[in-house]
Amino acid sequence: MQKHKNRFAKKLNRVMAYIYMPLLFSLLAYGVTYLMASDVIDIAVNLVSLISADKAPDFTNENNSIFVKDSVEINDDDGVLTVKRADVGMADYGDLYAYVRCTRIALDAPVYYGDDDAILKKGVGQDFASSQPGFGRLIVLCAHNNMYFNALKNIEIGDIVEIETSYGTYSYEIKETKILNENDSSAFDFAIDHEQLVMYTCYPFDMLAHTPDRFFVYADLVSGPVFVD
Amino acid sequence: MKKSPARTIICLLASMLLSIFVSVLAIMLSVELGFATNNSLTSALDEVKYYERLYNDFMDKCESIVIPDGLGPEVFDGVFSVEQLKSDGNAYLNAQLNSTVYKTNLDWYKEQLTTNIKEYVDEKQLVADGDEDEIIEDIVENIMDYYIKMISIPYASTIGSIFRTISALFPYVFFSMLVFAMITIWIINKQNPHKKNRVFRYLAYATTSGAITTLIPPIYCLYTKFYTKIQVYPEYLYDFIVRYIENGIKIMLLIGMILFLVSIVMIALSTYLKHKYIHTRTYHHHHHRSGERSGEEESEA
Repeated sequence: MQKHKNRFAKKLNRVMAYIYMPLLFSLLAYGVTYLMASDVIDIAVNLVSLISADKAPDFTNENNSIFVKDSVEINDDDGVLTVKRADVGMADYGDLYAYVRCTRIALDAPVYYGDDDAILKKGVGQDFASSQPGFGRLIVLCAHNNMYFNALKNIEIGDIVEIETSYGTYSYEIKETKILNENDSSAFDFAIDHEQLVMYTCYPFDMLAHTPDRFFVYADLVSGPVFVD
Repeated sequence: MKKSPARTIICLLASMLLSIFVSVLAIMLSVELGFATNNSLTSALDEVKYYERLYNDFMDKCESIVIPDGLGPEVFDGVFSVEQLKSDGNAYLNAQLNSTVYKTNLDWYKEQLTTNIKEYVDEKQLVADGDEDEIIEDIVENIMDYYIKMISIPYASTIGSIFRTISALFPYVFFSMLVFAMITIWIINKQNPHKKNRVFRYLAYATTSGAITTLIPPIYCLYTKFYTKIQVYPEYLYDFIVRYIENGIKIMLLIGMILFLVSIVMIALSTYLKHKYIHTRTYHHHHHRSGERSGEEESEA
């Protein structure tokens, strides 16, 4: 019985040797490799961590549309249109959140929050330092003069421009137009005390090559839903 | 022949060294075949449709360049094509990898683009503030610079320099490892002239260890997928890098698995030869030996 046990133990040991011996060799090999190349390994690890984050990059969150026509309930309180502040969706960079229209000059374009090259190819861009309609602040829109804002060359004082959002339509009356240098800091005032819409594009229209001047259009709020808590 | 501790230690040491040589051979082979070839790069580019996506991105950017200049996207009609961009891109990549100079012939593009812009300017009656030809030439040069920038794969020349170093080292490392492996096998064989099952046992240790050493890095990579967390933009460049790494990892995995199969063959051979040896010894001596003795022989084997 004891001999059988011994023979079994020896057999088991021989079989197990096929596992632990290679593992031991591998551990030694890795240990020696690490000792010999620890500097290079550290550099490689640091390099990878330098260009890595906690998760894979997200390529899907570009240019979402948060504009859903008539999706927010608008109430009529004694002739004053109101929307609940909590229902007003705030756009993230690249979101399509409104449409700007002026029927008389055939202006009808999507408004994106942000104003990079990719956005300006798809529609009207909004300076992300400016506000969405309805907040009583400055709204700055821009677009290329040979695309969505080509129509601005026909705009006149007194025209009505509408911005349609998910939480209602805001109307603005054109008060003034100006031609200014692109670096002119007096073009608009972020600290303005009322809601003002500023639209601008390159000037002159129908010009070859980049131009240093801009055509500015200023409009004041006429009507639109008011926020209530 | 009885087991002697000195012989066992020599064989184990030789086996351990052999495992290192086998591992280095396998890893070098994996790197050479999986990563350090032009084909590994170009096949990853094809698999993720890199040039098709690059073309779309390029056209998009080109349009963004010319629109502020008063031009429309139609000025690019018939100028660039995916096929030509792919051909220029691959030629440029090969030049960067081989440290040679590839001069893309841009004359046709320039000519066609200039013609299109002039037609557009005439049609839309655009006004130039200065010399029209000079303005158009500037716009065309701008686009051509952008074209060269787009067809070059980032860090391709650095990658090429690493490839060349690996390829230059590969034959020397490969043959020295092969020679060292032969020497260790010879030592193991010499220590066990009559017990071939022991020779195969030590070879099995070495090949199994080589398989483990080769398999752990790719399994770790595929399990953690840490390389997918690299922050590289645009998406097609990211997809290309990830695919390139994954293809290389798969080659390493394949080589490790082949090594693992070899180790199974070694174990089988060792077991077969041991049983054959015991059977032969038992047959020759069964009239003189008891069953206990056969047990002793087994332990000797």
